[in-house]
Amino acid sequence: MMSQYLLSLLIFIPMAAALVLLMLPSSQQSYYKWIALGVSLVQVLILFAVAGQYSPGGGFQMTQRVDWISAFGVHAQYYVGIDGLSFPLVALAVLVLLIAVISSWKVTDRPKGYFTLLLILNGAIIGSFCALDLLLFYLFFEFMLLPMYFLIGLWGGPKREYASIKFFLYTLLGSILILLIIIGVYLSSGTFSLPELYHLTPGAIFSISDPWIVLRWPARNWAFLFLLIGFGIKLPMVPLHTWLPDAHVEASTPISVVLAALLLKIGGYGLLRMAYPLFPDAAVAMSVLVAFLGMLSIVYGAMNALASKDFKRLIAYSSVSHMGFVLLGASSATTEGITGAVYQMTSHGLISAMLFVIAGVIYDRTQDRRIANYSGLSSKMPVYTSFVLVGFFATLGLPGLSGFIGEVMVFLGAFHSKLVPGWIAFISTGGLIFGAGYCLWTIQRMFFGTYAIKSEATMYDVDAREKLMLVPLAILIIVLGIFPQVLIKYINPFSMELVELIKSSIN
Amino acid sequence: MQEIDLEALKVSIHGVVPEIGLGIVAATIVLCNLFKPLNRISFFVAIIGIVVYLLNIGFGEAFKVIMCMSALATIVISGRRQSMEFYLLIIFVLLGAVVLVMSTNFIMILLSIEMISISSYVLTAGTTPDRHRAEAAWKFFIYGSVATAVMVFGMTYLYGATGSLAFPHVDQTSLLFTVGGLMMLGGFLFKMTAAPFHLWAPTVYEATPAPIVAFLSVVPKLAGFVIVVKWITSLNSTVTIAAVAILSIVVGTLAALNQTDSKRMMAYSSVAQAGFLLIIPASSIHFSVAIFYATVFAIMNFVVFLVINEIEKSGKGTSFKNFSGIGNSNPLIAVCITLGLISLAGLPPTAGFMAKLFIFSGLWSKFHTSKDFIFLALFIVGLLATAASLYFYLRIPFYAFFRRSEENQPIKISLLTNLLLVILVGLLLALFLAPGLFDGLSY
Repeated sequence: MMSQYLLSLLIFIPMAAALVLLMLPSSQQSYYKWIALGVSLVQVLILFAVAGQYSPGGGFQMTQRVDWISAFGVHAQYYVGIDGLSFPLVALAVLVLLIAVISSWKVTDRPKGYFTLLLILNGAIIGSFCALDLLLFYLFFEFMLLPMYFLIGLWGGPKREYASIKFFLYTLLGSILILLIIIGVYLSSGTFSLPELYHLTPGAIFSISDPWIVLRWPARNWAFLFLLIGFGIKLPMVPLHTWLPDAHVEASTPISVVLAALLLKIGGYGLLRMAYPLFPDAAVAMSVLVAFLGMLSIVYGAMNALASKDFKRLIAYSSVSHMGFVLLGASSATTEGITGAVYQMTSHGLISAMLFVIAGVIYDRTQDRRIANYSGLSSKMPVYTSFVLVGFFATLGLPGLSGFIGEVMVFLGAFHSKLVPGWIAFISTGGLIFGAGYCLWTIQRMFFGTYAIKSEATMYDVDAREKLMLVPLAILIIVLGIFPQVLIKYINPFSMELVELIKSSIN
Repeated sequence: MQEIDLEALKVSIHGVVPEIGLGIVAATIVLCNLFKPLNRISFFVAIIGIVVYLLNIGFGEAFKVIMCMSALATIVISGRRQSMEFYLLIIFVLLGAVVLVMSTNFIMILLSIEMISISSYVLTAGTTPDRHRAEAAWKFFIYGSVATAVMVFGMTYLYGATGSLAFPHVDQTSLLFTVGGLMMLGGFLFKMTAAPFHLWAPTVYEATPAPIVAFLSVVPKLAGFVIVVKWITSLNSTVTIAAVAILSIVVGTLAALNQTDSKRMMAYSSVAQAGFLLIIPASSIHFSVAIFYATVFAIMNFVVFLVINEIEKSGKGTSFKNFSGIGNSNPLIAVCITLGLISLAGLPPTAGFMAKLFIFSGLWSKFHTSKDFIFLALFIVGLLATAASLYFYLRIPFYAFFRRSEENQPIKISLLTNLLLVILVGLLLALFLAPGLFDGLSY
């Protein structure tokens, strides 16, 4: 059967292409971007094959399992597969990475290093969404770190060095906490493979029946907290979010797109893939904390976005706000809430990619991102303005666009859940109001009124390359807003399984 | 004192024939130098001598193999234009180290440790007058002598407590024995560059040429490590070792954070690495992990020092600033040193990650079985130090790739160095993908 190799192809084609690219002499540098584009197009084809084979339902599909490390008492496998949680994210990753390549088309500064790192990042991102072996997951997770560090630090804005080191140290701290728990889980169960991990050996540090008490608290609660911090940094969750605005402002457009649309999702993915299924009882015990942090992220992120003077910083803070919904949805431990969280991740992936491409369009023309320096852009750039409207209305959660579905399901779950206090859910709705506020205000300031910009540059409307990126995103945002079932049918079996697991752990 | 049994000596002498051979190699180098036309061949005598020695011991004794490889690499990197003393001293350090690994008697331990130490002092001082090297050698010598004195003093206590000079069989719990044992441990930890016996390291590393530092940072450390592992089974005090490990990791990592010179940074990194190595005896991890860690450690140290050596040879200093722009002018060595440093920090995709992973999983399971919180503390300190250490390990890549230098003249690097770098880095990646190669080895 071919199907078991499809995911591996998806992961390793970009890695192999990165090697080929390294070998090519610099005289061939005009081909680098074509190689990257070719890889992404092949990945799209493979994705169609995957989608053809994948049937909505519970459990992991298209798995491939090979023994890998077996030394010094450590046994790890190369084990990949997808389920209702990872399939939408893998699809998102392939699409966004294609857009990132198109967006990188004009990179001329050290193209060899740039495209090599982008391809490595590509494989690592898809790898972490597919890995079912904890060690393998961790490897891919770490593997994203250095390429991203260099991509921000070498091809970014003026303060890129500070931003890249901050990104690196934050993420590394998180990944160390994750590694701590991965090793603990391994020693409590003797395996790294996720599907077999849900039954931990009694007597071990993380066993359910008689957990250890460390500093007066069950070790399982510590483990959940560590994972929450580790993945929360990536998500990012307030108060661990401060690396994100800096990284976004300094990173170039394609890197911002990948960062917002994919890397943040790994945080939410890790919570739902590891923290919740492995420590459901601790998750229930700490659901108020998770919900509270979700609320904090939603409201605080939105308020910061409202106060931002920089266009990219505004989008970055809106990301913080939107990823708060993922936390809120997960904490509810209801089918609606968790499906909503996954839906929100997918939809925010599309929306944030679109918004950062949009920010890139004006930055390309003027090298200026200050909101106050623009007004009345709609008169000069009507097509661009219509894309902006789709992006911002999706952000504020207008019905009929994808952002609405995720948010409404998260709120359904939060109000419905016994674990989330009513006031937390209620205050979180405030995020919607602030969201509408910063979106509409930005549109009004930048696009309406009389045309005036503080720059010598001529403003022309979006060109064919920019349309090529914006049109598919806009279409998907609208389709997912009108036919949510397209995605929910994949996500729902996963959420139901997870809710069952959480329920059974309480009894 | 027991009488010397000549018959037993006759039998057991076969075990040390290769080492005697190594001694003869050293003597040959001295002899060659007596005749003017022959003094150019010291280089070849040393290399052939070590290779023959390697062939004789076989590849079973992993630590000796690592030490020989390090010596070979050092000689090859330094080239054949060194003075005779250089090759001689390298052989002497190597001889001391391989004998130390085999020693089971206090006298032998003392002799071999002194052989390593005195040769190291002279290697540090060099043969041409140089203020910095002389100062470093003095510092090294004074610290080393005190460490040896303390160790010998401890040995007298042990002799008093047990009435025997035989090494691994002594096993007592009397106060005299414990105090003596700990004093002796101090001497071993000095060789390992573990805190608090590391104070000589930064000065010595900074003043000495990179190939010699690479050698001194690997061979004596590993020899000291093996003897600590042997000793700890007698002393039965894993908690002490765990405490020393914590101290070394903390001191090494914190002190490395604000260094501005690559060699000083590597000195403190070496202190932290000694701490990580000590986790192995502290948590009774299988010795094959030690072999894996030691191999990886030797490889990554040599990768880093090979590149530092090229920077040093090009006439610039070895501070971080001098690495500016080599990412553009010499991409190969920049990528190699980056991978070497990432490996030292313990990030994938390098063997350093696997080495740390095996150590940490062993440590965690030790905590699991013993429920002693010092091991949890060690675990958490180790993980935090790993995160913090990236800050200084990434300084060189930072300058190499993020800073431009005024002169864009690429450094000329010999084919041999390039080849060696590619092989070593290739090994780092290969051992990441297939660490199982080393499982089940013993010393």
